[in-house]
Amino acid sequence: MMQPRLAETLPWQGWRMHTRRDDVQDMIALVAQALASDDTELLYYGFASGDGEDSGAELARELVAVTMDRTQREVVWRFGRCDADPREKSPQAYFSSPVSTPQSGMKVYPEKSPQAYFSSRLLALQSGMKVCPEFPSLASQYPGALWIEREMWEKTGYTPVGHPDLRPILHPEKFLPDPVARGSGTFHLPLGPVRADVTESGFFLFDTIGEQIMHMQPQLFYKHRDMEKLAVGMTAEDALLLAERISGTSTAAHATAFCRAAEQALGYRPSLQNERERMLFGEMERLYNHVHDFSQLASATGMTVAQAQFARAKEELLRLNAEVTGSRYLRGAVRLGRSASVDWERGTERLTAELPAIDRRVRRFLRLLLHTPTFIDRLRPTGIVEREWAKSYGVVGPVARACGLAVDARSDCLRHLYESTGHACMTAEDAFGDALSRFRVRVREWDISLHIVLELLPSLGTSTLVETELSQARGKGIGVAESPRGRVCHVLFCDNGKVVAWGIRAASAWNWPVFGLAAANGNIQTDFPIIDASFGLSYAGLDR
Amino acid sequence: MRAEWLLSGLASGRVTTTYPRQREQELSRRRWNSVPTMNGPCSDTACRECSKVCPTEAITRVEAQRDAALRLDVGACIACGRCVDRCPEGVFSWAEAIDRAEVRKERFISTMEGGADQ
Amino acid sequence: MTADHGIPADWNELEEQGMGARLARYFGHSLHIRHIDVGSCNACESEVLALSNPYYNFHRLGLFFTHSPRHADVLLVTGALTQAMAPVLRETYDAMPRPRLVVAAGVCALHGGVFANSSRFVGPVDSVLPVDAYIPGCPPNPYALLRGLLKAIRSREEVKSS
Repeated sequence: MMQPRLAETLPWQGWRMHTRRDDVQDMIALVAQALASDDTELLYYGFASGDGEDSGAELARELVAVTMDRTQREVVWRFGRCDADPREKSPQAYFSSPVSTPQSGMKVYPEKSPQAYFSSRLLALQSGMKVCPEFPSLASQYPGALWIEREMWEKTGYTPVGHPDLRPILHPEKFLPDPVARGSGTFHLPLGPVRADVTESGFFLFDTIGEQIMHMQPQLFYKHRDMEKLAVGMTAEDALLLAERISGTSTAAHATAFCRAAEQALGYRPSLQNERERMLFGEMERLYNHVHDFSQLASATGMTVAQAQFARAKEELLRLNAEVTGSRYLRGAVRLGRSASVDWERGTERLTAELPAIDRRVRRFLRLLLHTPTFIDRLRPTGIVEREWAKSYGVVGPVARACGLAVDARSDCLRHLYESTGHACMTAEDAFGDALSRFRVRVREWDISLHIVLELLPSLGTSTLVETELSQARGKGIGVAESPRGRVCHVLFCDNGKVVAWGIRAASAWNWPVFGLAAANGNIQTDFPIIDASFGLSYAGLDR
Repeated sequence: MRAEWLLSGLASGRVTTTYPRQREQELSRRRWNSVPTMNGPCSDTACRECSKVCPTEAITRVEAQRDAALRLDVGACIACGRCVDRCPEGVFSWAEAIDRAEVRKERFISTMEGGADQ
Repeated sequence: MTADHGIPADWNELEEQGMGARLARYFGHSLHIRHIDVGSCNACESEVLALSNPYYNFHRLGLFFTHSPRHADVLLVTGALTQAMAPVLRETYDAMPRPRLVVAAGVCALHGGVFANSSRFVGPVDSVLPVDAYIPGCPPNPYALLRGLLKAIRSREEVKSS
């Protein structure tokens, strides 16, 4: 089979890509202005090199924001340089900007006293932080950047001026959040980092009155492994192994996003065959992840038969993954600049033989669940994400689609492939943004993913291995893929085939800040496991 | 509704593995890339491909001996499969025993004398 | 060469003597496991969770997950030990009653894997705690986890008898 080479790097076919350099003040203003529109999304925001001056490169002081305008079909890279001008300002200056902003999502963030700021600043200084220049905060206008700017501040020392909630985020062993709601009758319930059952490590602080959750603050980054810095100096091929281990259950999505970024940066053009395979792996991943989420939700609502049946289906899907690619978690399936070493004849045979049976069983139990009043009642008004929060926090994935936002990386950058399978971006029919809407979105996505897998299979055939020497070029690239949890985005700067700087925004990085709001939104403590399961967030993806 | 749940649960049958009682039958059906193993000596003592491509230095050439020996530490292996793919002699393959576990870490290390002509 | 081809000698013996007798002697018929994630990607958690699905159903061997380390006999550690999790791991271990076992699962816990050179990586789990069984793999599959847990119980017996 002839491998068509497309004129442009394939995932962004038909899109324009601009690069703009502005004064950092203008840049933040322009980004905030663009984000006010409904069709623009923030793909990446952060310093080009996450570790400030240590990396030495001229990238160190470059603030990068990559935005995507869906209607114009353009991706804009915006750079703003923070000049080294460490003017010391009085601490009051950090609080001169209004703390309460029109976005309703901001209302729960209390005004921090200058004393609290000082103590946190002192802590940060003790952990070896530098006093560095500043830049205008995007988070004061776009709350989606709240956690990102805290992380940037702590990693580089560059201060986002006007940030409404500037506290250390990366060192939970030294700094834990303070309770917010005080007064008689309030109780503070710390939970974690070692929590019930088999889960990842994270800390939650609940402020409660009786059963009611008044306020909930997640403190993550217990598992921060500093991957972006670790990759500096590696070849792109070695960094791919790291990318596969950002979040194990989103291996294929992260590997795909990383490969797309690296191929763009290194000037290699992937073939259509390549992209079809990656899409297939992405859907196989979505299948087992969604079944896992069904199982967790059934467990949280006490539906043990459903839990066991979905766990069984997950195991069958994992075994199927291993039979097709060798790895239960699709590791090594997505490769840089070449197609997977998979025997597609055998793979197609196995998938077409086993998927329909698994599908029948999963569907039977999904139907039963949707007709079980005790299950529906527990999910209906639980963990509501308001639509305006979803927009202003840049929420992605099933959580966003359950609010009625048409956010899907597959229909953005791979539209021709996605729509050739007869599907478009879907949103919930009853977009209430609650746990049931999220469950229903996943139920529909199960159908769609299954169709895509079965439809893509005949077009794969036996793949010819295209060995390519990756060029020694210097460049930047952005890769986007839709993981089961939402859009993942990788930004990569390469020089001489080596990684100079790497930025990761996993789906969970956008969804975590909203999780605390949704958990406190009129819910009681016993709702928490359900909200947790219905969000299906990854700790590892955010922590990196 | 309750009856339907009960029947659906019972009707889907029993799938539980007999592991560890019938370990061999159970594992022979699984071709999972778990950890690599070395099948035989490597005749090309000058070749360093495997140790070069290994990302975690799980494969090393022990140069101290007269003929360079290959040393594989499964305890440091991330199962990337590069050694299996790249070795020109096919020294490495995926282990059939996918349930590897040891009480002492040293037992993960295996060595293979180099040089077939020896 | 000590490659792992066939059934190792100790395996049949372990089967013959029966797991039940061992469990009864040391842990009162059942073994309760507290899992702790000290910095993994979430693949290891997914595999540990798979132990309780109908395919592996590890309850049939007398193994259970428990919520509190105070009720646990085994600490199952996954992930690359990060600076933030190191004191937490110590605290969890100290909260466990004796006799207690530690099982390190996954290459990150054994060695560090791809994270071995990370600035936030403290070291392999056995540099911090005494480890009774090691399970390799990235991630270790459920069969390996089962075998590792069973071997950990055996290792306790070796220590007792010597």
